[in-house]
Amino acid sequence: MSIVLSPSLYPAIASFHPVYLVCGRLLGDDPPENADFCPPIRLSMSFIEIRNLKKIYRKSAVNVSAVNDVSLDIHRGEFVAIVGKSGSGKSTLLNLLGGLDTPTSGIIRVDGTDLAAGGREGRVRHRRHRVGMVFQTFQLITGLTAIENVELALAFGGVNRKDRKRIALALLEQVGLADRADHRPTELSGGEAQRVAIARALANNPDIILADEPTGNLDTQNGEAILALLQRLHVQGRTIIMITHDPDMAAVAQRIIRIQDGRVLDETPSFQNPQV
Amino acid sequence: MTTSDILRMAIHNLWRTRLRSSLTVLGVVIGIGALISMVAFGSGMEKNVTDAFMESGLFARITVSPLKLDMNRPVESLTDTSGVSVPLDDELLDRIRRIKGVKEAYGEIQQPAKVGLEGKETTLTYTGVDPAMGLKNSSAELIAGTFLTSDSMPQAVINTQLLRRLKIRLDTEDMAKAKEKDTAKVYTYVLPEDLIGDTLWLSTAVFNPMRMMGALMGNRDETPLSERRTPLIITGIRELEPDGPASRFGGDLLIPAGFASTIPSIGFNSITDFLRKGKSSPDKYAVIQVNVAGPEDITPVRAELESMGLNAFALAEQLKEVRRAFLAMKAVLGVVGFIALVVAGLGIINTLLMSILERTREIGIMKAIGGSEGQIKSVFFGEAAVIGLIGALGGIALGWLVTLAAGSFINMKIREMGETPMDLFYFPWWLLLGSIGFAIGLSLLAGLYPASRAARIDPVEALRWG
Ligand SMILES: Nc1ncnc2c1ncn2[C@@H]1O[C@H](COP(=O)(O)OP(=O)(O)O)[C@@H](O)[C@H]1O
Ligand SMILES: [Mg+2]
Repeated sequence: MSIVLSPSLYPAIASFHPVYLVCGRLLGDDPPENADFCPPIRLSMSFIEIRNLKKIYRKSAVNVSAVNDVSLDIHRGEFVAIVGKSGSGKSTLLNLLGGLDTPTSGIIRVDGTDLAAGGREGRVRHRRHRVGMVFQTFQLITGLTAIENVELALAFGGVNRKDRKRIALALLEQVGLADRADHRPTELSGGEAQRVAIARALANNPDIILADEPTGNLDTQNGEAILALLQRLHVQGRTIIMITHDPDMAAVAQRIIRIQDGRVLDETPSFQNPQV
Repeated sequence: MTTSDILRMAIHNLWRTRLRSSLTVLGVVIGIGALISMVAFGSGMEKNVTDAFMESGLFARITVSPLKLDMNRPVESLTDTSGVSVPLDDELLDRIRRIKGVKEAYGEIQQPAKVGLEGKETTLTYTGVDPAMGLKNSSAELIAGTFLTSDSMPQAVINTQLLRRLKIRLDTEDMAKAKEKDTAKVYTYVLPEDLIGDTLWLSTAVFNPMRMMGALMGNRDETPLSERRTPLIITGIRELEPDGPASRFGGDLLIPAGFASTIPSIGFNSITDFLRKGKSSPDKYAVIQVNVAGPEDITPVRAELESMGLNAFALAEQLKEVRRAFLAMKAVLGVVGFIALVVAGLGIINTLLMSILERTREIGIMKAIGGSEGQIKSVFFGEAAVIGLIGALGGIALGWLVTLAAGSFINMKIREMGETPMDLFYFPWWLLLGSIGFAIGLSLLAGLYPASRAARIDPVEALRWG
């Protein structure tokens, strides 16, 4: 049995029967075979649950609704692309999911836990262990070397100094930059810098990767390398939420969410097979 | 993050902006340097005074004098000491020697007089002492000759203080320069050995009834007093700290008590005698010096003496007052240094605020990758603490150098003036530890506002800075 359904119906289906989503198609009771090629997602009620999320910026008596009543369900292990025009509220949404920002109203639940419930400390824990963020402008600390940037995230996570070195080096190796460990961000190409940023995002082994236009500042070749890296993280079982302008990039995701004026315009499953 | 992580990060961050960091540290260095050299000066002065005092043996001495002067009493009754005071005589001396805690006691005769030596003159109060008490009761060492040898001989032990007042200088190697400078020939230079055996003239005032008549008859030139000169042979010269507490005690001119009692004179006691219209003084001694066995005996012995109706003065008890005065002096000096440190503190605040402004994006990144407000605060506190620590160590070094330079300069001048050099500055351990603690405390205080400001930075805003 293989059917195509609107993703908005997934939670309803999953609530009464275990189903798997493979390349955007719902499959029967058993986990599918070709797991490497297109990782299966065991549909749960919802891994990330967004309900009536609003973020209003007050800008000199004018209220800007950057995120305006967004409700979404993102499943464990899903690769989601968020697309939309500039200023439509994509980054604001991602920052809310990352716990960098607090919503004006609405709820974000991750694995059943309300992000707002833990308060400030809860958000720090969320940023530290639950999510890894990747930005368009890399956001590396220029005064530190590649490995020190990764180590800093590990230090915040409470990893002791000896383990930090080892883990950071392993992570850089994973993104293919072990030989550049002692280079400063200024000595790295854009693509390399973004790979360091990804290594850093993985420091405390988060199960969610939030990427805000990770290829926006890169040429096609480097962009594709980064995308491949994200896909590999996806295969490893991580939930990826990626903002992008590029339709080709969005196409590798299992679901594309279009945002306009702070609202979800529509959601479309991608039918293209991702190239791992 | 551990403390060592924070410190390593702090050093790393400070190194990134080393020019600015070192200027900020310099502010603390100057502040701490000023503070500790000021306090070291106060401590040095105090130490000079208390050390000289301790060495002099005066901490174990009580000086007993006949009566407490009560200024509220009418003059007539002031002269009537019967029943008020015990006479200072040998009987009292015996009683005092029997008090528990008293090691020894001896009487001193003190009279005002004029002395002449090498053709120069000055006035002083000479002291008649028991030669048997020897040097142990004098507050300084002999640099030439011997102590008094006989109770009845016209002998004298002088000290450098008296020589100074007579404008006589001991000719030593140190003096060569001063001698050259003394073009006006104000001073006479002599070898200490040459003074031994010299004659010192003691001029005392005596009451002359014949002249009294003349004065009463209206002859303005006549006073009822006349001068009597007594020759004394110098047996020894004592060295004395120029302004030490010892100079006020022991006397500049010591003569045998037995001989002193034969010198005709009119002193304070005699004036009292005169006012009493012929009743002779019951006091044999001007003062009785009491040496106690240990410092702890001072207070009980003094209380005992006072209960006997005597006036007992212990410098040891005055020392508390001296210490209190020095504490006030150090506090005033400390305030000056403190102001310098407050300025340094403002420098730290300024540096940290600037650094936060520059590193806003970095703070945003730290939050995005899991840094808590507490961790970000401690990063900036770490920087403040390192500034404070380096500043304190540098400040101690600076203070030490400054006091070393100032000390040797001042001592050079002192030597030129022919005086003995001294340690002007003193660094007690509490000053060094205290200034380190204080500098770090102040730096952390200065870091308080910048750190909390850094921690409150909105990461979303901060990340846009890139
Ligand atoms: N701090 C802010 N203050 C005021 N308006 C803001 C702020 N941040 C974002 N906005 C506004 O919110 C809207 C959404 O911004 P953003 O989420 O960055 O859009 P996108 O990432 O889709 O380009 C924009 O109109 C932007 O001007
Ligand atoms: Mg954006």
